[in-house]
Amino acid sequence: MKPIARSCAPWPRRICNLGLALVCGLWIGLTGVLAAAVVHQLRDLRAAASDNVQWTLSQVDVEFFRLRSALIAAERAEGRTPAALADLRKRTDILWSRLDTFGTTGTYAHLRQIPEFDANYRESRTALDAITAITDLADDGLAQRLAELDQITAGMEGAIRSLSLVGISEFAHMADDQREEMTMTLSGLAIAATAMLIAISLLAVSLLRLYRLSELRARDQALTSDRMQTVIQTSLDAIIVCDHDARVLDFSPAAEQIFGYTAEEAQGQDMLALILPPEAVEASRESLLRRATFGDPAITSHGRHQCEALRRDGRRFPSEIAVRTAEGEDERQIYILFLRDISLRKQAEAELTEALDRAVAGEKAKAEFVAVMSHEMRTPLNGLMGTLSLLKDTGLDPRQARYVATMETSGRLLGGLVNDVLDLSAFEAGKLRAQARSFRIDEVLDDVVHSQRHAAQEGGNRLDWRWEGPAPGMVSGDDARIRQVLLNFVGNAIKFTRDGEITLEAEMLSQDADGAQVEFRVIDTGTGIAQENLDRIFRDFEMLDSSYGRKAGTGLGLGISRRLAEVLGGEIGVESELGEGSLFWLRVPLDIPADEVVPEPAPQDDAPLAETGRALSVLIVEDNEINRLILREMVEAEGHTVTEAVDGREGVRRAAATRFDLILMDVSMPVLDGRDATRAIRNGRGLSREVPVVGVTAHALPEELKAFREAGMQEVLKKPIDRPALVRLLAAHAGDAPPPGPAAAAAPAAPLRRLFSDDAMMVIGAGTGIDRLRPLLGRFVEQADALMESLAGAGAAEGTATLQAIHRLAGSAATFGAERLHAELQAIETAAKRGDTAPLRAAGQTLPPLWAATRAEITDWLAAERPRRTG
Amino acid sequence: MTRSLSGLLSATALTLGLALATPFAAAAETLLTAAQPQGPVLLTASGAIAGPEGKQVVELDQAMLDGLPKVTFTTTTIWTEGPQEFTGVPLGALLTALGAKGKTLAATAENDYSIEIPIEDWPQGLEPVVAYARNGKAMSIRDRGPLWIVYPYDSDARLRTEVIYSRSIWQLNRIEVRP
Repeated sequence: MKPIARSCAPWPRRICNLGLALVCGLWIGLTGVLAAAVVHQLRDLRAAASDNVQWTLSQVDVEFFRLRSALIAAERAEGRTPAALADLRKRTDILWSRLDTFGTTGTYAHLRQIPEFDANYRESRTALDAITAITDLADDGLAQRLAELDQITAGMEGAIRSLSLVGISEFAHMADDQREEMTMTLSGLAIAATAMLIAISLLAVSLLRLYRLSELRARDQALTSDRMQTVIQTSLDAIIVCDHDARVLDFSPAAEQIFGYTAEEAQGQDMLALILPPEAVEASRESLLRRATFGDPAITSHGRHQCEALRRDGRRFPSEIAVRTAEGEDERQIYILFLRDISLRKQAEAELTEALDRAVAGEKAKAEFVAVMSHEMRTPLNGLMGTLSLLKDTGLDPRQARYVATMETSGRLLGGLVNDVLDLSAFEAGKLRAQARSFRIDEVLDDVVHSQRHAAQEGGNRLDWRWEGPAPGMVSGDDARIRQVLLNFVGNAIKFTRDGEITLEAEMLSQDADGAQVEFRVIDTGTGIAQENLDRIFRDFEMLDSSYGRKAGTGLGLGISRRLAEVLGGEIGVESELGEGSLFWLRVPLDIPADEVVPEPAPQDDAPLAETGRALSVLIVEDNEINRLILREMVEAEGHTVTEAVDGREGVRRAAATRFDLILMDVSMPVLDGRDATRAIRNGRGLSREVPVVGVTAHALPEELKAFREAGMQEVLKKPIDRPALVRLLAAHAGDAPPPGPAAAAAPAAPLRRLFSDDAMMVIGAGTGIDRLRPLLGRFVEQADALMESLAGAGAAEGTATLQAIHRLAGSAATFGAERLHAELQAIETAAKRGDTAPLRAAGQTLPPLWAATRAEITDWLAAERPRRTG
Repeated sequence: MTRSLSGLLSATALTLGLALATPFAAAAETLLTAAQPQGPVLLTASGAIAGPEGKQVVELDQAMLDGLPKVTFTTTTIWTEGPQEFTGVPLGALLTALGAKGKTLAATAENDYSIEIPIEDWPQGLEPVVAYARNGKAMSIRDRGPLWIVYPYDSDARLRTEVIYSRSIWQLNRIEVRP
C-alpha cells in the first residue's frame, strides 16, 4: 500500500517523473510548433497575398487584345474620330496599369525571378513604353502613327501571351507546392496529435489506476482511523496526544473523564501543566518528555512511570504514565501519552499489604502461643513424670506396675513431642545460632553410645562407635547440636533395627587451615527405607509406618536434624536399601584451633604426701555441702582440724572470732561471695585478719585470678580439687615444705575427659572410705537430677538461680569426677559470665543427655563397687 | 462625422441658397441634384438610388466628390510598392449622399470588371473608401484611377483576404445599387 509507483524507488521515482514531464513537455512543444505552423500556413492561406492571379494574368491578355481591337477600330473609323482615339488611349493606359502590376515587388516579384517571364515582361514593357510614347501624342500625331502602333502591338503579342502562360503555370506549381507543404504539416500534426492522444490515454489509464489506488488507500486509512478512534474512544486509559511543544492535540474520552476537562478545553493547553501538580511540571518536562524523545524503554514500553496526577477539581491521584513519540503531520515530533488512574490498585495494594502484615502477625502470635504452651506443658509433665517414678518405689503390685509403666511411656512420648515442638518453634523464630566451643569428637561419640546403649540392647542390637581414619584432637564447634543430631540418628536406628548392629562412625573428610570437614555416619542393619521415601523422611511430621512396635514419635526428629545441620553450616543425608539397612550421615565443618596443643597428661607427682610439721587449724568457707564435706575429708585426712562456714558472712564471723592457720575460701557463694569475704577479713580487726586465704574456684579465668589476688587471696586452688595439690599446699603452710607453684598449674589437664572418673572416688575414698562416699554421691545425683528437672521445667533458664545451681553442680561434678558434665557446666557458666547466655539457654537440651549418660556410669560404678567391697 | 456633416450642410446652404429647414437626407439629395457635373464624369451611379427629380442615374465629377465627406489614410497594397496615402469618400457616405436603398452595390471598372459589394454598416476602420487621390495626386488610368475602391488593408487582417482584394476594384467608373 505504501509506494504508489511500485517499480520506482524514491530516488528513481523522481527521475521517472522528471522523464515523464520532459517527454510531455517535448510533445507539447512539438505539437505547439506543428500547430503554429498550421496556423501560420492557414493565415497565409487566408491572407491571400494576391487577388486572383489567373484573372490578373489573363487580364493582361484580354486588355492587350482590347487594345488591338481599339487600334483596329481607330484605323477603320472614318476620319479617325477623337472618341476612337480616346478609347485607344484608355486601352493603352489600362494595359499599362495591368503590366505595371507585375513590376511591383509584391506578389509577382518571384515571377520576375523566372528568366523567361522576366524577358517577356521586359519586352512587353519596352513595347508598351513605345506605344504610350505614341498614344501620349495629340490626336493628330496619334492618328498618323496608328500603323506604327499596329506594328508594335503585333510584335509584342507573343511576349504578352507567353507572359500569362508562364505565369499561370508557375502559379499552378506554387499552389501545388503550397498544398504539398500543407499536407506535410497536417500529416505531422496528425501524427503528433495521435501520439499525444496515445500518451494522454496512457496518462489517463495511469491516473485512473492512481485514483483507484488512492481510493483504496483512503478507504484503508478511513478504516484504520475508525479503528484507532474506537480504540481511543473506548480505552480506559487516558490517551493524550500533544505536539512537539507539549500542546494538547487530542484528548480521549477517558482523559476527559479522568481529568474533568472536555476535549475542547484541553486542546492547545500545555499538557503537563494541565494534568500534573504544579511542582512536578518542569521536572516532568525534563524527565518524561526528554526520555521519551530518546526512547528510554523505562518510559516508552514495559516500564511505566508512576507519578501523581492532578484533576481539574484539584484532587491528586496516583497514576501510571507511558509516553511515546511519533511523527506528526508537519514532520515534527508528537507525543502520545497513556495515563492510567491507579488509585484503586494502590488502595488494593495497601489493603493487601495490611492484610499480609496482619496475617504474618497472626502467624507469629500463633507460633509464639504454641511455643509458650509447649513450654508451659513441660513443667506439669515433669511433675507427673517425677511423681510416677516416686510411685514406682512404693511397692506396687504387678498390675499397678504395668499401668505405671504405660503411663511413663506415654509421658515420655508426650515430653518428646513437647520438646520437638519447642525445637521447631525455636527454629522458626530463627533463634538458634551455632555455638563455638572446644570439644573432643570422641567424647561426643562416647556420650551418644553410652546414653543409647541400654535402649539398643533392649532391641538386641550392638551399638559401637569408631573413627574411620585419623582422629583430630580438639575441635571447635557446636558439640551439643552435633550430639542432638547423632542421638536422633541412633534413636531412629534403634527403632528400625532388631538383633542387628548399629555403628557410629566419624571421618575427617578434609582438613586445611580453615578447618576440617567431618562426616558422622550412623549405619544400621535394620529394615531400610524404600527409594521413593528417601526424599520425604526429612520433612516435618513424616513417619514411615515400618518401625518395630509402638515407637511412634512426632515425625519431627529428622526435620529438626535437618534444620540443626543447616544451623551448623553442614549437610544431612541418607542412603538406604530396603531390607539391608540405612546409613544416615551428617557432614559439618569444624574449626581446629591452631594453638590447641593436645597436652600429654602431665606426669602426676606421685611423691608420697609429705608429713606435715604440725597440725593446722583450717577454716573452710564453702556453700556447697558436698564440696564442703569432701574438702573437709581431704583436709582432715592430712591431720588438720577443720572449721566449716556455709557462706561468706559466716566465714568472716568465724575468722574474726578465731585465729586460724589457713582459710580455704570458695569464691562463688550466696550472701557474701569469696572476694568480699576475704576483703572483709583483711580489712577487719578479726583475729584471722592476717591469715593466708586460698581461693577455691571452678572457673579461674586469667582476669579473675588477678581480681582474686587484689581482694587479698594469696593463692587460688582450682576445682575439682586435685588432692596432691591440696596436700602440697597444706604442707607448705604447715611446715618447711616449698610453697606450691601457681595454682592454675595444679589444675589437671586431662586430655580425654571421661563421663565418670573414679579417680576422685579413690582419692576421697582413701581418706573417708567408700561407705561414707556413697551418701555423698547419692546427694550429688539428687542435686544433678534436681537441676535437670528445673532446666527442663523452667522457661527462664537464664535466671541467676539456675546459674547458681549450675555453678554448684559444676563444683560437685568436678569433685566426683563427672569430668564431661563438669566441663559442660563450666563452659555454660563461663560463657554466661562473659555475657553469652546462649549455652545457658540451650542447657535444657544439652545437659540432660549428658547427665543421663553420666548417671548411668555412676550407677554402674556403684553396682560394681559393692560386690568388690563385699567380695 | 456630425461635424463634417454640419459643415457640409452650411457649405451647401451657402453655395446653393437652399432652405436651412430641409432635412438632412434631402439636403444631400439636393446637393447632388443641384450640382450638375461641370468636369469630366468620373462615376455614374444608378439603381436603387434617390436621384434628383426622380432620376435613377446620377453622374458625379471630381468637384462633386470633393463636396462629400473625405478621409485620408495610409496603407500598403499588394499591387503597389511601399505605403500609399489614399484620399477619398467613404463608401457609406457616398451611398448616403446618393440616397441608396439597397443591399448590394455592383461596381464596374473601365475594363468592365465588375464585382458586387454587400452594403452594410461598416465598422470604423473596415469601411471601403472610394479613393480619388493617391499620395496627394489624382490618379490616372495608368495609376489605376481615376477612382479606386480601397480598404485600409494594414489595419486589420480581415481585410487581407481574396474577397476583399477582389472588391478592391480600380479604374472604377460605374456603380449600381441593387435592392
